[in-house]
Amino acid sequence: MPTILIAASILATGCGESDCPLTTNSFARFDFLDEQTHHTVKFNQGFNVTGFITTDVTLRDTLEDGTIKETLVKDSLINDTIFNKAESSMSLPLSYTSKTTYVLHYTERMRDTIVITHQNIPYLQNIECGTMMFHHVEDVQYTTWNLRSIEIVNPDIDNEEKRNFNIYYIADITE
Amino acid sequence: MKKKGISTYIILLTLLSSMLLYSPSLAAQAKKTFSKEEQEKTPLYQGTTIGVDIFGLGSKVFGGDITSTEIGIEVNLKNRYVPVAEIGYGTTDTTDDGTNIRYKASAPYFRIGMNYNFFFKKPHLPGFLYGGIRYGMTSFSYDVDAPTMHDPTWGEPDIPFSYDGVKTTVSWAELLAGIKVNVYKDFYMGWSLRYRVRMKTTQTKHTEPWYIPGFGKNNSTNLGVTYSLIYKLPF
Repeated sequence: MPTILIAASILATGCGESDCPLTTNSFARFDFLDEQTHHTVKFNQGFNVTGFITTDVTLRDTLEDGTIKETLVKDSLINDTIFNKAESSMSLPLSYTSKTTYVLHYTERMRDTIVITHQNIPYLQNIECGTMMFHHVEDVQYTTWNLRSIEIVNPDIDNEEKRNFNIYYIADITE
Repeated sequence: MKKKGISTYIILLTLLSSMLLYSPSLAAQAKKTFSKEEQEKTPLYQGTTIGVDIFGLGSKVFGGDITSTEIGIEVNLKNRYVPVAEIGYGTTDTTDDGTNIRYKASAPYFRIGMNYNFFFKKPHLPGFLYGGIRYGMTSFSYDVDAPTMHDPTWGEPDIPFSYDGVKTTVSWAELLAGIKVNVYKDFYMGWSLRYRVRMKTTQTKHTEPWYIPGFGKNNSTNLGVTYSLIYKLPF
């Protein structure tokens, strides 16, 4: 009889369990590496990253006869707080559009721009935990004022923390 | 999602069934022995039973999100080995209070397996105490509707989340223990506690099933209960 009661208690407890992931946010992780040695490169002062996207915006003009004319145009949205003081790595959010652009501000005059083209994958693991947005990287383009190259390590960006990109520098330039 | 109601329901049913099996008269009878000769003389075919699980129907009444019922056919061989086939139907249409996400699924499921009667040496007892294994499978489609997704960094664009008719196939294994007690002539009742392990799920691009008919909520392991009314067929 006690065994049966214990089993019933375990069963009753088990019915209420919910198994949500620890984080539902998806970030692209970039690691900074030396082009020659592939060792970690550290920017002592760190640098800030801004981002922008281009999205469709509806403009509404009131014509002379009083009717409203709607026009679809492209507009840029800027986010100036994507990442502060990146030193040896950074984790950046991708947008819900198909292209996300980041600007790496090493100094006031020295900048690199990275443009990531990606698919967005809305995902639901459990109705008790809410929806998540995952991404699949299709292409990356960049300027080479300071960085040398970018390697896609893992194109799938989801709520599990993993390295997605390696950014290669020449170590002397970063100091 | 009233979890407390379901827990009370489980405990009440468990206690009720346990009292049936642990009656004093049964305990006295259990002291009789069953010789090896008698075992060998036992005919192979001991009858067929058909049972209906009503636990899944009751859980809805007590505030659960899921309704299911199933029919099980058991063939008793030597009062010891009992091959089993179960076919059932599970359905849910629920909206989570916290996330406002709706999930809808209805589908049949199938299980096959075997029970082993631990009381095979005591055929005079009006019941079984058994352990068993099952292989379960279901192939079904489900609908999911969630609030529009809003980009948290840039504020736009908004992405709708609505997927209908998502198809998936799930298989699982079960370990179970249960009792079956003769209550009147050829009528029995019984319950089983089941530990389920999910084996294989067809992956889809955007969603995972929340409820799997026959398995329960989509965790890697699950606990389940059946409470059955059983009739022994007259052949």
